Amino acid sequence: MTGLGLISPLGLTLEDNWNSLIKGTSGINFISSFDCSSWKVKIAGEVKNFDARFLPGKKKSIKLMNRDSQLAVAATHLALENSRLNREEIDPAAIGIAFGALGVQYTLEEAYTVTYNALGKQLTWLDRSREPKCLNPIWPLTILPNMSLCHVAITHDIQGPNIAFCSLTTSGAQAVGEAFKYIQYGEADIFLAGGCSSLNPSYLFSLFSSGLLSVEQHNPRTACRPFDEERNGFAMGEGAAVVILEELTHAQKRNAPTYAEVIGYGATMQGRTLLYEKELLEARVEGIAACVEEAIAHAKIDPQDIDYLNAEGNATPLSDWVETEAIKKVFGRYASQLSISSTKATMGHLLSASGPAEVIIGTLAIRDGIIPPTINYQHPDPYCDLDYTPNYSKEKEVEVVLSLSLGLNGENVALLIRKFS
Amino acid sequence: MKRRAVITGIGLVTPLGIGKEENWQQLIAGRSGIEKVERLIARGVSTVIGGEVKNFKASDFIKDRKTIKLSLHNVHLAIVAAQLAVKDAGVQVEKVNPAMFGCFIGSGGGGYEDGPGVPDLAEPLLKSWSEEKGKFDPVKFGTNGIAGIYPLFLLKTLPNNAFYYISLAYNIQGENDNIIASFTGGSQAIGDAARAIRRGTTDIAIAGGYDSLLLPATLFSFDTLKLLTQNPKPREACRPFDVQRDGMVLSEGAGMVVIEELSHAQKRGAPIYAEILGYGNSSSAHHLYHPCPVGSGISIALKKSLRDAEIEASAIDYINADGIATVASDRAETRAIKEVCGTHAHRIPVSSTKSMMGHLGTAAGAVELIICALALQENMIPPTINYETPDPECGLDYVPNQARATQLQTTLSINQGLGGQCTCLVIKKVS
Repeated sequence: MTGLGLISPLGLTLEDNWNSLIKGTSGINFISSFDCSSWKVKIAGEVKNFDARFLPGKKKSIKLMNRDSQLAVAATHLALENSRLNREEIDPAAIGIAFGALGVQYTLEEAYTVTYNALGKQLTWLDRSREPKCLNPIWPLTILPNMSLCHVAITHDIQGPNIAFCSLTTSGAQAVGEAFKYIQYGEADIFLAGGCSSLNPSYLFSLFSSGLLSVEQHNPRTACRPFDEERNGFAMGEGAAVVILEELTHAQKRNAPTYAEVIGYGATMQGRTLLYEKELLEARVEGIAACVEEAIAHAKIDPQDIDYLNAEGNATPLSDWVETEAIKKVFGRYASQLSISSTKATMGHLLSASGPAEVIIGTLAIRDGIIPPTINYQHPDPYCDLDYTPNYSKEKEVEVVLSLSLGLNGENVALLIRKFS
Repeated sequence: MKRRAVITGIGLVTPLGIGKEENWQQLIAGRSGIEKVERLIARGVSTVIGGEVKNFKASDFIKDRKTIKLSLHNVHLAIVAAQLAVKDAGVQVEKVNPAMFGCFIGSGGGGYEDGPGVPDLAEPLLKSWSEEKGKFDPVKFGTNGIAGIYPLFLLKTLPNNAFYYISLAYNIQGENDNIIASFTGGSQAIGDAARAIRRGTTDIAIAGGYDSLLLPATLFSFDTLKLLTQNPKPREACRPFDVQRDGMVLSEGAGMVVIEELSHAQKRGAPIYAEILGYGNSSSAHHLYHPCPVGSGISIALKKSLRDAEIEASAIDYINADGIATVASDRAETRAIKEVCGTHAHRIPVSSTKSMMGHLGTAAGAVELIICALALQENMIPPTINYETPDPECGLDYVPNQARATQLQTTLSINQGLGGQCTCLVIKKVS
C-alpha cells in the first residue's frame, strides 16, 4: 500500500480524519443537505466544505458526475498525490482500477420525474419544451453504479484492467481484496482500489425502511453506539476512500512511501442478519468465521498475530452480537485480548466506501501505534463482552490489522494488513 | 498440468429468439430482429424501434411465482438464459461440488424498470409533489410517502438479483463476482470465470450478462445524446460500418455460458464448444460517451488478450466486432483492429451481429462471445447486414450481408461500453 486518500464526514484530508478519529470527535450531525423535518431519520454524516469546482479534470466532465463520482475522483487525486507517483514515468495501461459502488444512484426528484413521465402519460419523453418535468438527458449515465470507476479512469488517465463491484456495504472491501489478487497474479503493477458513496435520500429511506438506521432525534453525536447495550442502528455517512496497491519491487524501485502490506483476503456469503431467524443467524456466525479463517490461512499467520480488529460494528442489535460471536469462534481465548473498535461510531457508515476507509484507518493505526476508539460506549452489553477500545484511543504497537466488513444480505469480507518491514 | 477453461453450454435469449438453434438460423440467414416495440408505443415514447425478446413469458420457464414477483424483466431474461445453458451443458447439478461451482454475472446495475421501482415507488412519489414550491418535496415524501412503500422494494432493485437467483437455483457456493458495467459486464464476467478456472479456484461456472435497454428513460437519454439511429425502417436501421450508419438500436436479452475445466468436462463426456484462450480488459480513459478516436482502449485490450492467449494476430480467423453503428465508434474500432493486426487486418473477416440484434447492453459481450463459439462449431461466419456502401474510413472485410462458410480455428470478440471500458476475448476450437 503506497498511497492513501480519504474523504469522510471527519474531513477532507487524511490527517484531519485521523485526528478526529483518535480524539473521538464525531462527524455525525443533523442532516442539512435536504429538508428532512418530516422524516423519522434526521441524522447522518455529511461531507462538509467539499467543493466540486476544485476537482481535477475538465469542468465539463465534472458536470456529468454525481456526488459519488465527485468524491471518488477527489479521493483518488489525494491517494495519487500521497503515493508520489510520477505519472509521466508510468504507462497508463499498467495501472488498474477496482471500485466498489453502492448501486443505482437516482435522487427522489429524478425518480419523481421518471415516474411522472412513465405513468402520467401527459408528456412525451422528448418534449424538451415542457421542462422542468423533463428529465436531464444524461440521467441514465449519472445513476449507473460503474460510473464512478469510469470517471476516475477518465480524469486520472487509468487505462489498465478495471472492474466495478456492487454489493452495497461490502463492495469497497471486495475491490481492495480483488485488486490485491490482481497484483499477485501480475495483471498490473499498480491498482487503485476503493469505494464511494453519497448521502442520497433514496438510500436513506431504503436503509431506514429496513430498520438499520438510528432514529435519534436530539443528540446526533452520540447516536451511533456500536456494541453498547442501547445501540439502535447506524448513521448513514458519505465519503470516498482509495488506496494505491503497488507490486513491491515496483514500489521499491521508485522509493515509494510504503505504508503497509496487504497479506490476506477472505470473502464468503452465508446466512443473514436482517431478520430474527435463528438458523440464519447461526449460519451467519459461521459465515463470518469462515471468512476470517480464509483470510488468516491466505496470509499464513496465526490468529494471535492480529493486534487490532477494525470491526464492522454497525450498531444494529443483531449484527454486533453476531460479529462478536464470530470473533469468539475464530479467536477462542485470545478474543478477549484482541483490541477491537468500530470507527463507524465516529464517522458514520460510509457503506461502499467503508471497507477501504477502514483499511486506511488500520494502516494509520500501524503507522502511529494508536488504536482509535469506539465512541459512545456507555452501557456494556453482557452478550458483547470483548475489548472494544471504549471512548479513548489506546497506544499500542500494532503489527497486523484485520478489517472486517459485513453486508446486509450475508456478504462477508475480511482483509489483513501488516506493517511493512 | 496447465488448467484449461472450455465452454460446454450455451444459453441465448435475444431479439432473434430463445435458444441457440433459433438464434443461429436467424444469424446465418441475415435476418433482423429489430421491430417497432409495441410496449413502448403504448407509453408515449417517440423512439420506438428496438430489439425486443419476442414470445417471452417468464412463467413458462420460472416456476417459482415469488421469484417472478420479486425480480424485474431483465432478471427474468438472465434466469432463463442460465437455465438454457445448464440444460445445454447437460450438467447434473447434484454431482457438482458446490464449493467449486462458480457464478460470474455482468449486470447493467439495473435497479429500475420504467422508472425506479415502479409501481412500488410511484404512488408515494406522486403524492409528494408540492404545488406551492412547484417541485418534488422531500418533506411531503416523509409524511405521505415513506410509510406506504412496499417493504421489499429494496430487494427488487438490487443489482445482484440475477446472480442471487441463479446461484440459488443451482446451489452455487464457490467463487463469484457480480460485475457492474455499461455493456462490458457480460464479457468481463466470462473473462473472470475463465481465469478462476485456470487458476484452480473453480471447476465449473455459470457466466454471462443480461440487460434491457428498452426503457423509456434509457431511450430518451441515448436519443438526446445523439447515439440512436433516426432511421424509421426497423430492419434497415442498424448499419454498422456502412457509410449511411447513423446510430445504435437498443435491445434486450441475456447470454449465459457454462464454463468448465477441460478434464472436468471430459470426465463427464460433455460437449465442448471452444476453449477460452485469452482475455484482455482496459479503459480508454477518454470521455463518458464519446469513443476515443484512435481506439486506444480497444487496442490495449486486444493486445492483452492476444498476449494472454499466447498467439499472434495472424492466428485470428474471425472477429466479432463491437460495431455499434455510430460513425465515430465504428471508425475508432476499425483503427484499433488495423493497429494491432497490422497487415493481417485486411485478411480477417470482421462482422457486427448488432446489425441483426441491436445492442443488448450488458448482455452484448456474452451473447457475441456465444456467437463466436457457434461460428467455430459450424465453420460459418454470420454477416453484417444492411452493409451497402463502404465507408472509406472503415476499410476492412465486414462480411457484408451474406453468411460465409469457412474453416475457423480461433475467433475473437470485441466489446466496449459507455465510460470507456473495453474487453476482448479469444476462443479456440479444442482438438
